[in-house]
Amino acid sequence: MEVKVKILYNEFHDSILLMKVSEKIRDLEGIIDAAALMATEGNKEILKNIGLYIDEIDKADASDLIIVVKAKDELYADKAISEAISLLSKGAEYLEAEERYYTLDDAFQALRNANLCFISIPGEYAAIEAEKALELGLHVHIFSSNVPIEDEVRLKDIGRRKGLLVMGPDAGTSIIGGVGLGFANKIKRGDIGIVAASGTGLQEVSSIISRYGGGISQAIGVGSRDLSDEVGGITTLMAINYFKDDPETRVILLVSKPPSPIIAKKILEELGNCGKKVVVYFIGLREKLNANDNIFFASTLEDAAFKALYHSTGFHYSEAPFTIDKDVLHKLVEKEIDRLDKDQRFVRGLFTGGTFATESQLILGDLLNDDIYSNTPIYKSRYIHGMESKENTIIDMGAEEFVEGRPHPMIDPRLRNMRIIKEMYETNVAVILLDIVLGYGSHNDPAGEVSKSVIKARQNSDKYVSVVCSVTGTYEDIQNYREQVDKLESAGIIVMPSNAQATRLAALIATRWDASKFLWR
Amino acid sequence: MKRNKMFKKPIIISVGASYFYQALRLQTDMVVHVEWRPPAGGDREVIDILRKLKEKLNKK
Repeated sequence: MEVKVKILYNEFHDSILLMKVSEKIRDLEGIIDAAALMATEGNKEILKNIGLYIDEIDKADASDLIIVVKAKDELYADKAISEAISLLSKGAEYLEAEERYYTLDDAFQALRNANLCFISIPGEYAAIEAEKALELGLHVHIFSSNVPIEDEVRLKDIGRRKGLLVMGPDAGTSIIGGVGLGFANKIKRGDIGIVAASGTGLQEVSSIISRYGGGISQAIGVGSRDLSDEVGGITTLMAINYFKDDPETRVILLVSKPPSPIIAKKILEELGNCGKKVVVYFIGLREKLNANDNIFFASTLEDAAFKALYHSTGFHYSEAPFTIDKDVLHKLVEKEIDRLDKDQRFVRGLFTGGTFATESQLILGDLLNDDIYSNTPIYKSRYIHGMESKENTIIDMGAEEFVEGRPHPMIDPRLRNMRIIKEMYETNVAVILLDIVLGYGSHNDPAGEVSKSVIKARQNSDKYVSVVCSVTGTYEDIQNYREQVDKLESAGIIVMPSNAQATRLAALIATRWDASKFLWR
Repeated sequence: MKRNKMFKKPIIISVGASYFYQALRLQTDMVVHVEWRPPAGGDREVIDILRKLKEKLNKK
């Protein structure tokens, strides 16, 4: 067996092209495993974990590209490396020449009526391109994370002065004029306007709205830090202002981490005076805020979507913890409990969406009466590194340590697949909790990927581990909500209608009903 | 807010990952792609020198 590496110094390719090249060379004859990636510290760590690290890689740094192959012999390894180099040089050949430009200025010369610039480049360069776009009079959506906060404030100030919206940085999703930017689902048109400082939060609320017969006018992703003290909610306030005057919007739905009291007051004042019904979900905020009576607070993403639906379509909902029939729920939980050993007590959540990781920590924390370990913990004392797990743990696999120089796990499921298998072999684990996110930008068969891993783990173990998930998506998504749910259920995975319900179910199973005392009081 | 036309009909320049450009292309014809490369081939030393030069020129 031969592990060989080729370092291409100062060569850059986007992580998605690198993922595709990796997949291609992994399938070549005589190849056991392979990866083409930028030599960031995070990627080096991953190579060590999957046994593809050799000393020669020490020489490479974040601006270098490495191709590593593990092959049956040297000949196969060399062949795979030259194939990878040739694939990289072909790069974006599949794009038609007239649609491809090399600078923003050139693209703008060709498309003078452009009104929006979508930016997905490494964070350290994103502000430069965003500023150029604003100078050209374009609204901007910055998908990139890792943009310094001073740059964010500067860009948003420029945007505000020019009357241009700066969505992001770190905005995973927006839906503008029916077009989804970044990770977005195919959502029916309607009269709910969404403002969200959370990409997956936006995806979950818009998908639930669409699945239950409602629709959206626009969904504006403002970026994860917009409601921080430093940024002051500049984009959120501009978005609210837009919806206030928009005749197509009757209900406004705001989803965000809790802002500071000063920012919260400013935002709630603006919303209170907007003359429309408003639903607000400040994720994890416990205390009651004073607000005008047109504002309704929600307790989960699903609750936020239901409340917005109620004001939009008159949709009838209850505050019950589950929407499925009580008898069905009872049988479901009993069946899972019967299959577990006494020492299987813990929940392990492996999420691709950051907001789901937070929402599940909040719900689980309450139901297990315990703080949950996480790489993005609610309480700092419960921090653990993303590669580790301990007792009840929720890992955000879209966090920085996993995505620096790598595609997001919604695009490339490989790391999570490996982690699912690893966690299912742990002795004390009762339930694996997952999110499956569909839509534009996501993998073309995320349910198939998860199912394969779960089936594989179960084949190699005598012990049963319960797997519970929710699917974020719609019947109109390219992956199709119904088909994805069917696929998961055929693999013996329990699919719940929302992340909140999936998390509650996981708690009921892991505690053998004990958590029910917190659910039905 | 300027150019509210965006909300009626977004006309998009996508800078960066070709993957997201393709996702946009599935939804609209009104999008072009900028195949972005880091300045100076991503060589941090050269980028730093360029940045300092630019700052000097701006000061002048």
